[in-house]
Amino acid sequence: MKPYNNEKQYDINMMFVLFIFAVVSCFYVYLAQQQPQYDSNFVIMQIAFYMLSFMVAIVVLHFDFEYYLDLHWLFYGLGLFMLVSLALSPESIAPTINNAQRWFDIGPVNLQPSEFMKVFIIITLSAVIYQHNNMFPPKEIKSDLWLLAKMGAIIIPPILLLQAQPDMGMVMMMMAIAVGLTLVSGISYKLLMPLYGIPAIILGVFIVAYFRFPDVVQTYIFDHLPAYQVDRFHGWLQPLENPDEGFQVAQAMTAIGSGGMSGGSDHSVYFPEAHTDFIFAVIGMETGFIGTALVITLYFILFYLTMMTAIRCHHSFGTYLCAGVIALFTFQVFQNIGMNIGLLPVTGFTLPLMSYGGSSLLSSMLALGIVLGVHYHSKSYFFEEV
Amino acid sequence: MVREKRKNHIPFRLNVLFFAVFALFSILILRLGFIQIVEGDEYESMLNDEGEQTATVDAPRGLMLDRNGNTVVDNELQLSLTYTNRPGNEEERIAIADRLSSFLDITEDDIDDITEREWQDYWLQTREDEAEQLVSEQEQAELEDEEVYQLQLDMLSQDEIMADMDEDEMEAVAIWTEMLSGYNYSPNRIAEIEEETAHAIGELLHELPGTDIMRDSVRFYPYGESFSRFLGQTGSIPSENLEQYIGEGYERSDTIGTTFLENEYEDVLRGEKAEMTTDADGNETMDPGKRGNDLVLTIDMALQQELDSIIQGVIDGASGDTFLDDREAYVVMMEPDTGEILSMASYGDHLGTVTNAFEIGSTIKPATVLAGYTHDVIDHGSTYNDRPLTFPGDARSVSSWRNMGTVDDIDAIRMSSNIYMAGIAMEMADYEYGASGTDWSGASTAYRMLRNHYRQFGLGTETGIDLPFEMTGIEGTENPENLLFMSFGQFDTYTPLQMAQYTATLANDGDRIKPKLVKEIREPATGSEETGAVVRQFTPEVLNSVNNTTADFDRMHEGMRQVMQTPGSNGTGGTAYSDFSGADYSPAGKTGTAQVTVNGQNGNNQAMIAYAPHDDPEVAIAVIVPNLSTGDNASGLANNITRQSLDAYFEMQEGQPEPEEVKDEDEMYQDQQGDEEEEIDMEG
Repeated sequence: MKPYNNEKQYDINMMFVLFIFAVVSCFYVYLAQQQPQYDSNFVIMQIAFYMLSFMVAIVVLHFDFEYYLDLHWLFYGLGLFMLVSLALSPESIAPTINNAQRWFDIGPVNLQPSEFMKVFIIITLSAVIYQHNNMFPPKEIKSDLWLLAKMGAIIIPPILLLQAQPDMGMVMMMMAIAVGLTLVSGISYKLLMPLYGIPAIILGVFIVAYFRFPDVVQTYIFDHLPAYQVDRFHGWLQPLENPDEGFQVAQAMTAIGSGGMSGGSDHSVYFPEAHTDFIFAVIGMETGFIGTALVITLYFILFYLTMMTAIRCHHSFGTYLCAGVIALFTFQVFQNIGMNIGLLPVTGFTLPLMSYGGSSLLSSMLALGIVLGVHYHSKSYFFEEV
Repeated sequence: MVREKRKNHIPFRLNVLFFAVFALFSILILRLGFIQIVEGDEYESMLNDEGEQTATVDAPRGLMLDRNGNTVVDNELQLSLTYTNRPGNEEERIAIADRLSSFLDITEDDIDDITEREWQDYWLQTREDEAEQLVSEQEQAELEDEEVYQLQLDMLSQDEIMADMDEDEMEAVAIWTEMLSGYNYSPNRIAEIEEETAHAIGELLHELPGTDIMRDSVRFYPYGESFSRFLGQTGSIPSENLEQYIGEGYERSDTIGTTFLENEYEDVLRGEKAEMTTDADGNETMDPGKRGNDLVLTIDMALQQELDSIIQGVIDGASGDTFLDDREAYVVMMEPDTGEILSMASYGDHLGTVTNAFEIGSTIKPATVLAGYTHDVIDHGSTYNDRPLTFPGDARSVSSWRNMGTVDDIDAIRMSSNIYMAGIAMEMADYEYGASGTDWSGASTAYRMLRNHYRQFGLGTETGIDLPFEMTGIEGTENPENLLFMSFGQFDTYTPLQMAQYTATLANDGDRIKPKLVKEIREPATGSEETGAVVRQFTPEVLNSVNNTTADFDRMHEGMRQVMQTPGSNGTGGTAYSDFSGADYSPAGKTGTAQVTVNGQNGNNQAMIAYAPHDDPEVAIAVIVPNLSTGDNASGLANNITRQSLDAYFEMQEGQPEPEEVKDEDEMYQDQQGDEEEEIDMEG
């Protein structure tokens, strides 16, 4: 047997990066609350949220991730239960905000079940992939199809529930996690190519057609859709020309653009949700390209460290967990920044680890706690097998 | 071994995932670089434009005062409720209409004005469930939306709908229709409201998105219709001139002067809008703007009212068959040395003083005599035998009102000899009366000489008055026989204003002054002063001097003095002596009667020009009463009006009375319908 070090190791690097995130987040939340529409002090709350969620992460990392293999159905069941009970809850504890029912509002606690469901989905899908790969020989289309079917069966119930809320953003997030995990699960490219390639091509053709052949799109697609959905498309693809539909995006883009290279614009631009969904606009406006590039780099470092954990982990379940977390964060960061700069349509996503808000922070730290746990419980070999 | 094999490709797949992450983030960075670095300046400058928001508040137009400082055109605050349509706010609009119905006074008429289609649309929008029941499900499935809608319309009658609604809802429909009538994104006035209503609605404005209260100022005329036609109207910019006005800095919704003085002096009367600038930090700065400058008119409002009532009295006093057509009479009174018009009064439309042209009869004779001097066909004191003249090949004979025998130039004016004038014209044409072999080959030369001379007095040319337009009268077709008629005023036609300028030019010894309605431009009065500082004072402008000597004019002054002041029996005295006996202001003038055909009947235009005192004229007047019958009941109307008008003028010099404000409120406001398309009728 190969000699290995049995001593548990905390991932100090990642913890340090998370600390930097905490500082940077508080800094920008502070800048955001200088916007004229706010008069409460979010920074204090954000510091408290960070401390709480750090503690949660530290607790989580001490659980050996291999236990999750036995518990994943429990998590999955808990997540589904929360979503179902949210759907069945009366207005008094599950209010409808902006035409969507996404939150429990019980006394002082605001809870968004889908934020936890996304972590549970990572665990469940990873476990299913791991168990599947242990059971079946690799590189067989038949078994790959069987795995895809199992994964589909797992994500479809929460997707249906989320669609009923409605929360299209969260639906897309579930899909993004599934996409990331199918990639690392070892499913043959012969299956993956058509599975992801065809929708991607359709979307690409649509976008090109929207700009190059607007008449055709109007006649064959928009005329058959309800007006509000058409407006969404216009607001997404042409935010500046459609100030009603693309108001938030136009304001955010203006704010970011006015930041220039190093920020510090003399003007204040009003945009809603400056401390939550549109905090990236504050980053862009106040610290310019340097600030936005640094923040993106910070995310990249976080993903790199997660990736290192995934690669070093010799238990493939841990690898799947890390890959799921990367998919989750990548999608969320790309989606949030993308909508801030007019690349993607507006959905109610926070910028993880940056935006103000307890639920979002807690679920992010929960996911990262799992990654830290994978690192902590990985047996690191002295001599790597080549 | 199976597990090992599986594991080996995981790092590769992870790298693929990581590469995807890298690619996505690269897109973000590139996009950010583009927005922030490449386009950054554009966004920055967009903010500079946007952050500073400017709201303008209309400034009131300048006022118009008469020459004695009485306000003739005033402004009054008018509050109106506006609504701005946006696409896709149907439900909101109905809700707002419903709420507004408790504030606004809606009359039966307003409800009657609602069309059937509007009733139907409102009903369909407010009663969707019932509307759906109108059409069976099968029909809904089979038909296009538009066909279903048409079917619904067909099944609804206005009466049924109205029976379905209570009074409040009907009022709401009336308001809703008004709200709908505006364009998207542009505020539309839906009702004029009182101060109290404005306060009540003002508190609710935030609950009524799209509504606002607009403070307009509307024109207000304390003296009602006196002279109001010349004051002109205000209104929105006519679409054909829109570009020009926008080029001058107007906004589409601005109110401008559209006619007459309001139009002519638009750049003076127009105010500077107040500007409220809000910068990016929310600081407001206010440029208070300025009311437009005031016009001080040359008109004497008290005199104007007096002359209007004199004309009214004289014309209304005439018996029923006096006029062969609609009753008309025009008076223009001006200061000869300044060109300031004191009054333009009339029976009927005041506009006729600049738009209607008439044959002015013998009042033209002084100009004919002066033309004779200029062209050396007569001298001072030249005589001519006044007897009827006949011409071969022309059935008409030419004669004066009586055969006067030998008359000189002054006699010809005093007694009004047509033959003396005909003599001048024949001389000009080198036509030797009664001689064989003579012909009218020189007639066109004579026409040119006479018309050229008349034009020097303003007859047949533009007077230059400060109005957007004026008529210049009609020239008859040149033919030899009519030349003689032209010499005593029975051929070409002239406007009353031209006559007045002609009179003033005679009084001025030949200086033709540009007549004007505006004396000076003043800044708005500030608190303490009664009138504001003078911005510009108009000085008399001499358009041209008539080509005659002062001695020539003295002959005519004497002749015209004799018309009014020399008694005589059997027609040897002045033609207007009896009408002006006892006048203590030494008037001079000339009577005139032009024979015209009106509606197939023979009739007369009565005219009179006068100035006084004869040696140092301070006032000139021209009067014309057209289309009179030839009967005795018509005689003396123009002379009568002239006498009373001059009396009134000189009486007012003793003590200035105040003009009377009208009592009837309706008369004080501009006619909302607006008669913007003025009908200009020309009379020959």
